[in-house]
Amino acid sequence: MPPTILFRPENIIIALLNYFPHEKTDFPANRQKLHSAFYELKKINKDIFEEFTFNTNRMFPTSEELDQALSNLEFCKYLGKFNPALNHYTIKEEVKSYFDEKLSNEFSQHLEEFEKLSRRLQELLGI
Amino acid sequence: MQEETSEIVKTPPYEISKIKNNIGKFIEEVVYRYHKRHIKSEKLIHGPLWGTAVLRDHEIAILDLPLIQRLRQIHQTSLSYLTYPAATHSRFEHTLGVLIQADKLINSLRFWPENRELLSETKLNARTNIRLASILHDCGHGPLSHASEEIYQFCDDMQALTGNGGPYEGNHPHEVLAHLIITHEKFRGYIKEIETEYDFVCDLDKIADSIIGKSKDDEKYMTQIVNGPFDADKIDYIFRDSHFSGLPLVLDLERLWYSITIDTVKKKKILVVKKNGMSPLEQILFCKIMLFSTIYHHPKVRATDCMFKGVIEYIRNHGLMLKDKKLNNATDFLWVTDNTFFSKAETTNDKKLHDMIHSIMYRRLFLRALTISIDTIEENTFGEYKEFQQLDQRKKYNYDALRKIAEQIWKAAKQPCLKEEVWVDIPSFPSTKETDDTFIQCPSGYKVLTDFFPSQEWIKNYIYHKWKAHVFCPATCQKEISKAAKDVLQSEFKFKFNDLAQKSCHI
Repeated sequence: MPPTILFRPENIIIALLNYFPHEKTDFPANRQKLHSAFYELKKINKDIFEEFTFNTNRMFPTSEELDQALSNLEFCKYLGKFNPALNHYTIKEEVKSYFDEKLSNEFSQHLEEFEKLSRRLQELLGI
Repeated sequence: MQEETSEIVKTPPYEISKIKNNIGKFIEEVVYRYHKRHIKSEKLIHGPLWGTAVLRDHEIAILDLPLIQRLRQIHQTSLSYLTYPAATHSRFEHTLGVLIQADKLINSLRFWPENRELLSETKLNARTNIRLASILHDCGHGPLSHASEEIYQFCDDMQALTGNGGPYEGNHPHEVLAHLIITHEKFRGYIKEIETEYDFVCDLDKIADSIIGKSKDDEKYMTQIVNGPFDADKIDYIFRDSHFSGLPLVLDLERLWYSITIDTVKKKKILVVKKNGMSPLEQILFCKIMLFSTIYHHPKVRATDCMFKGVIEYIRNHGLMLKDKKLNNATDFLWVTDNTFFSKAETTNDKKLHDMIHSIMYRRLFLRALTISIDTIEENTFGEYKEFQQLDQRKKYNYDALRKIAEQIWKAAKQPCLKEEVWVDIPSFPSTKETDDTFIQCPSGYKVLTDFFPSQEWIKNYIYHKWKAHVFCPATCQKEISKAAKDVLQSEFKFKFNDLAQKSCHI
């Protein structure tokens, strides 16, 4: 699978969240959980996660790309934090509509893979 | 956008041996082509921020190397002194400040009896290694510090090192260059010589690793003094940058240092903070965000960094050189300091290059042509904003995409200046990721700082209310570029600007 600019971090996150079941609209904002989970996902599919680089010298593997992409998605209103403790992201409807309109065609050859990775992400995040 | 589905152009793997070879040539110049003199005793050095420091003979020998002396010619906060006139402090001053703060932290840690063995000089050469790591931690910086790093991070040699699967994946480019210098056999040879001459022992691998934050689990605390969530580097730059910009910030440092101790958390021996040290930690984060808002992201500071990048791009585009280097490799930037950069204005025969550098020197700065932020885009079109915002990711294809957009703007404005003089600048969001690495001692066990206050929400507020992207250009064509930028960006990204996008630029 050739790495393309389509596989930019924001798009990968949107594709993974798109496959979260309808009732699972929240996921933890805990950085350690999130970064460790994406680090594990990269072990499963290096090509899809090529744009995420990880620094493994810290207390847990961290990816600047993941931090920046989550901030971007929150800033652009694809994700929100509506819980009082601000410790969960809420997936907004814009994620699914963006995926349907802009990504589903482009990712058509990888939809099964994204669905599988999304399930694994849910397991890793404990949701 | 067109680029959205195009393939990344993959460059052939860069040979690591070639990078090491280039580093070796640099070491020959800045370590060996230098008349060594024997240092007879310790020396006292005085500074305006931290007072007096004592340096040992072998430390003076290393500080005297052109490798470190060149840091006197590299401004700590790039060209911010054109906005804050007193911010002329150098990487060299910062280096000494880090040494002093690292030493103070060691002293505070040794105040607690349980830590004395862990920082024992006889057992691990701890103090020697940490002090030398402080002296050497910024030796990989190029001209104007992070301004040049924004360019050489995308050079093929650096991508081979820090990119996906590279030996330094996820590390900062200047720290990688420092690591390569310190672990190079030629530098080892020099240190071997002075170890005998001054009768001391150090561990260069540990020193180099601590600069990139790497260490064994049972020695992580030593690395964290130089590269950790509240390290000496961060303390010095926060104090120094704010002090010399004339924007003093409050930080109860003494309280912080005496609140830190060493303990085992998650099988790693690390620095932890007692609960009474939380206030100064909060102050650190607050100060850091203030520095972004007042200095690092100030529109004039960003504009001058773009002017510098424009000069480098012009040199590359026209086959010119700086210090006999084409600036196509990250290692080329090691040979250049701020002085060599500015002196090019006087030695070049290229009038345009001369003028571009002079414009920086004599403060004929770029102006804002368009402001791009949450309050300059019409709310009902903000949904389309993601395509633009994601170009801030530090990736070469994003950098190239932004340069292509700038060129489109330049062409749409009928080329009123050099194409290297139009920039679309999207600053990266600040980060408070250190709050997840900072462990607080609580009666119930350890918690991370994030558990006590959600620093990410501070960042979110900063992003919503203060963060801005801009289009910059020379003053002579501000109006034309502004109009073209508005048209091009609206057509490329399908969002609509409101009047404030131009009014905030005084157009």
